Amino acid sequence: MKAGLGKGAASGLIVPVAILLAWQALAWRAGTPLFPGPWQVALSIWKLWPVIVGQIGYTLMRAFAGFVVAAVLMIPLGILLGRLKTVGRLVEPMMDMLATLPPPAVVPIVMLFAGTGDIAKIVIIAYAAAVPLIMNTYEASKGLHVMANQVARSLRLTRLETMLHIDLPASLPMIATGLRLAIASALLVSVTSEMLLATNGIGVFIQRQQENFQIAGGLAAIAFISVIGLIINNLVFQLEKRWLFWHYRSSESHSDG
Amino acid sequence: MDIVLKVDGLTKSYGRGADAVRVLGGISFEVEQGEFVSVVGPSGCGKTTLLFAIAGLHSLTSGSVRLKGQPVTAPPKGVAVVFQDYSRSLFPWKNSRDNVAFGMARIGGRSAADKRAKAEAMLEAVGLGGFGDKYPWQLSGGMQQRVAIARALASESELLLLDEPLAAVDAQTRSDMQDLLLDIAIRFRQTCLLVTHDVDEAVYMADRVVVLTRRPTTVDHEIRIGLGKKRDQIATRENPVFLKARHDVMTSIRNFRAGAPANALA
Repeated sequence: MKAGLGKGAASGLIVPVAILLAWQALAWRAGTPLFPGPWQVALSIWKLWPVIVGQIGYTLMRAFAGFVVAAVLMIPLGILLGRLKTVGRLVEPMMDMLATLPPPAVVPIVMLFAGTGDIAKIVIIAYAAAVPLIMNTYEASKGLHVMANQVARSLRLTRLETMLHIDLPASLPMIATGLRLAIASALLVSVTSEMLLATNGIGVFIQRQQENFQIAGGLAAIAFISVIGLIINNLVFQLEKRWLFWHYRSSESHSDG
Repeated sequence: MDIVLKVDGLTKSYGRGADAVRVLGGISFEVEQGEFVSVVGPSGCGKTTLLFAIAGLHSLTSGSVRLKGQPVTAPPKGVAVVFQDYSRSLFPWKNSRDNVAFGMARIGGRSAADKRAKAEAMLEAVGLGGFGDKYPWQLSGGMQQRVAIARALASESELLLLDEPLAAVDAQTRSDMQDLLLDIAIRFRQTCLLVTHDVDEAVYMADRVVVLTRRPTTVDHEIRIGLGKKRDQIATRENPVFLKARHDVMTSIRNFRAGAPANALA
């Protein structure tokens, strides 16, 4: 995903612009507020942005909280399970099973224990984000070469030091993939959970707009979410380039040897 | 002379019961302070298993390994290992300086700045002065192995274990690295135990060569190499003492290989 400049960026705009124009043309022909064109959506963004930003704030905060909970719990757990091979093998089938369970399916169970407030939503988000994190961290940690462990032992590192200074950085390239998937999941489930357990947030906003036939308003909110998703994705990409340069560079230098 | 390492009746078997395979069949030898000892044997005789047992990385089936009189059960303080596979033994997320400083992880009472300074000094000692900021993947194979050697030196060990450290580098780099290791052994008065399958290397490097049998492996005999500490890639290799020792070791190993059952050669 290279952010190309100049010619590449210009040609990348052709398709979206064409779609927007076609959409606008269709909206004009339809001539109903139930099928707003991009122009009406832009007007809605202009009119509604303070509300949307406020509501997205709730959504992002919960997504972030759930994501952090998942990362803090699942990365160390994944590393640990990768090390304790026997325990890892015992829980692996369970992880595979939970991985295929869609997060909205756990909503009723979570509601039973945590109600419908922020905590309940954060728990569901954390669950959704946990799945790609634990899977990727565990696979990475399990797959580490035995050599790394022998070096660690011969340097007389403690188990904790080994996990922190060797297993964790060595697993980082795969953990990064898990983190990216977890962020996407957290955002998705944050919005979905609001639609199911309605109080506030952008999910509720979109639902209300649509219930009141304010389709343009709903689309305005969706436009906001996608821009935010894009920004977060880019941010993660930049962080990855910064922290994992050694991984990309060393795999480059190995491939030509 | 002080005895640094005493290996006594060391055996190692894999598996249990009828399927058990005895790899090491009772190995005994000693290494004195300041000595450079090579261990050489026919292919598949378990040289690396032996070295890992001495390093405390593999458990023993029976017998004992003592470092300065203390029995070795886990990786002991005072033993550093240089592994064959440098590309896996160095950490690609650390530059050379930090990789070397990592060798001092268990040495107390030093500030981070002290460790960095010492790491630079060790890199200097292996001829990599000024390469502290380079990452392993920016260095050639020989240079990476030199970083690993610097890391082992930095841990101020009583005994340096070398597990075929030069098996993966090209021939010219190899002879340079042999001389580098010898130079370091003298300068740091480092006691070294080298495991190798290369008879010439074993004889060229060592004060004493321990020749192993085939499996289940025992010590066949030892030869003292009376060549003094100073070696030279051309002169030493033409010296009658070198040639005689080489002849002796080569002959033993060829006999073991010839007498080996087919499955032991695999």
